[in-house]
Amino acid sequence: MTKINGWDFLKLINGLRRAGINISMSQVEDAWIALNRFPDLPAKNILEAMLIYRSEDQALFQLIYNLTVNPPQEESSPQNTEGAPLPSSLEVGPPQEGLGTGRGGITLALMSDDSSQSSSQPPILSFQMPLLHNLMHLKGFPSAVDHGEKREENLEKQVRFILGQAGFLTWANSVELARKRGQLTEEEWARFEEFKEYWEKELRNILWQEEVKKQNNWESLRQVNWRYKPLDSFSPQEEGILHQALRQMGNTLAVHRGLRKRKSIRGTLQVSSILKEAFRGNGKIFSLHYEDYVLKHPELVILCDVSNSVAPFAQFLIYLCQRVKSYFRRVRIYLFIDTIWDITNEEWLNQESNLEEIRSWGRKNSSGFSDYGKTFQEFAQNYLPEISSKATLLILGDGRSNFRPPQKEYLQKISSKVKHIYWLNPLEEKDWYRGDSLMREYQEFCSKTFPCRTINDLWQITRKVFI
Amino acid sequence: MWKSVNELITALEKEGYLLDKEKAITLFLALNMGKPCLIEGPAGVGKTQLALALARSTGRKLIRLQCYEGLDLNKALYEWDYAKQLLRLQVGMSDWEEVKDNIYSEDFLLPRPLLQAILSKEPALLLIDELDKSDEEFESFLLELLGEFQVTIPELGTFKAKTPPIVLLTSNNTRDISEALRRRCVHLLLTYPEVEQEIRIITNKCPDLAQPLIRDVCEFVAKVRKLPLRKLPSVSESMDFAQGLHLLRQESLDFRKLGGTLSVLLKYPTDLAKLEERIKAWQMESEQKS
Repeated sequence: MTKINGWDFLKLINGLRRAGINISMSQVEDAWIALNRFPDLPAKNILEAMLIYRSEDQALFQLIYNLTVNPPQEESSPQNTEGAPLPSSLEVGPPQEGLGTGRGGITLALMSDDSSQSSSQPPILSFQMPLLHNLMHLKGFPSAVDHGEKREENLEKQVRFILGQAGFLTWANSVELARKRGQLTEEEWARFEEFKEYWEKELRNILWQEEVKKQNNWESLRQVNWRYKPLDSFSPQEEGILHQALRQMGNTLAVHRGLRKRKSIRGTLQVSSILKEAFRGNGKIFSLHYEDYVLKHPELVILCDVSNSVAPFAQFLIYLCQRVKSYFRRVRIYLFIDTIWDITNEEWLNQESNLEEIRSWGRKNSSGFSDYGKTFQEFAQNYLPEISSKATLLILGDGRSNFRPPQKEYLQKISSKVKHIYWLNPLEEKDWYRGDSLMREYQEFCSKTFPCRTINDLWQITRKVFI
Repeated sequence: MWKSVNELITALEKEGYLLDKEKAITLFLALNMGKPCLIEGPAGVGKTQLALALARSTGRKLIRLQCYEGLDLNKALYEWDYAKQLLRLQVGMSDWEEVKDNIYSEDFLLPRPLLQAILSKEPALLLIDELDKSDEEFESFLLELLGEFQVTIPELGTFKAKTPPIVLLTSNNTRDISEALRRRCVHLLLTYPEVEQEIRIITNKCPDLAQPLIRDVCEFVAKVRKLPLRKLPSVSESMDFAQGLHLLRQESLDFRKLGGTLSVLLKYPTDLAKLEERIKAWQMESEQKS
């Protein structure tokens, strides 16, 4: 059973906090008391129970725990460590001479049940991972982040490199081919996908561990934390977390109360009505009246840039607005690149995975180059008369207008009509005023501008704009 | 209270609730550290059942507060008995100061579940069910109760629990619970059970069913849970499904004989259509295999 000493315990707390998980002093105290009171229980379980209060943070906890309490040994292979058992459902065949590079005990096998069987027989899924740490030091390993490349993109390149060197990709291609030929059952395919996902996740963990060690800095792990991860870098599996967070956010908005009150069958007692009724003297001694707050029903207009760089962010904002649509008096959604499309009544908006539609919308209907000036002109001339003065306008865009004229008088006209204009920018704040960006010109007409890169940003926007 | 995790698992098992070791450790810590336990997970995984089984096994009085949108302190904590107060005023009393003190005494107080749990003389288990359905304001109020096991009534003062109740909160994740409240609780995530665990649960609850049927149903339901459905089948639904097949005198699961029974498992027509389509593919695969 893993024990933990005080120093490792403090390192763990520090790591978790630096990676963006808030841990209070009373939690630290409780965790330490629990560790001492129940020495027979696994320290990892105790710490996870006492420190982690969101299931989404469990993976990050595992990663930091393994770094602080079970640091990876240079010479051992990750599949032999406690934290990385092979998925039990996968049949791993005996070590085979395979297609790998010959380093680190690579073995690969995609074989039939019996070698004498015909090729139409379904193959057994079998693959043994090599020593992954060795592969990281091979020539050509993309260790440096290229100019303009995100850390996540570089990480994915590294994962692909290691899987390629391990022979995993060749094996995966063979399995996919077998699937296309109908030689794999759905169950076997599901197991293969589970296996693939498992190893990709393991590799990412190992690479993050290497990164933290190299930089000697926990902050880099913030990029693994779902709260601070750019919305366009979520994997399809992680998008589930994101959708759940947005759903919850939408529901939070849905039950948010305004300041007005009205009669209700429950709520607070309406003293004036009770007294009036009592003084009326119509035979009743008294009857009780209640009042309750009325839910807020704001009017919302969303204007989303769907050029390639912004489309992934637009998906999540539109999804959030869709979730709360029924709670707004009116929601209008417009997409734009160099012209505007009203998509408020599009059927596909109600589907959860509408990213492809949003991405392809621009390709189908425009040149693909954003023109903010022309967009604002069209909006002011064609759509503004239909919008009430109580509306809030949310603009999602990076402000990059391909060096076209800003035509800021139209945004000024819009701002004089609507109640608020909030600009949500998916770029990092340091990039807002660079190159062809028109943020500086437009900013003066906005009530506020917000960064909108991560789920945490969306939370902040939700609180400041809607509540 | 139990001295070890195994004791807790055994006690819950006696009450018909099977909990795996890792989750039992979390619950054991919450109980022994005297902290509230926030149980999260999809609908139908047994969150409320865990609270009920725990109440039975500890012999504590169960006090349940069902949350809903618009739940306020009058319904959750206490309410002044206005009718009684008005009657008291009509009876008449000359000294206003005396009347004022009199009508705001404990005689005119109607304790609701939270106050009942605090004032209870016998040990109690407080279940705050579906917390995510309540409003944020209500959550903020719970902070004092969960942190200090005390509540404040402005007219009467602060009431502190003599015997702190066991507090379990459940949430279906429809709304995000605030970090402040989460930090005061030990977090327990219940998910759909593994196949073997589900077999044990159904065998335990429905001993009349044939083992091959139970295994087939659990393996089938595990496959169904991997599909992209709007509402995945819960444990109780897979139990109903197994019982339904048993009533139709089926000893094992046969894809060709599932017509009409799937609606026990899934509740949305779109989900049913997806599953029926998938079953055809599974059937073809199994025929090819055999």
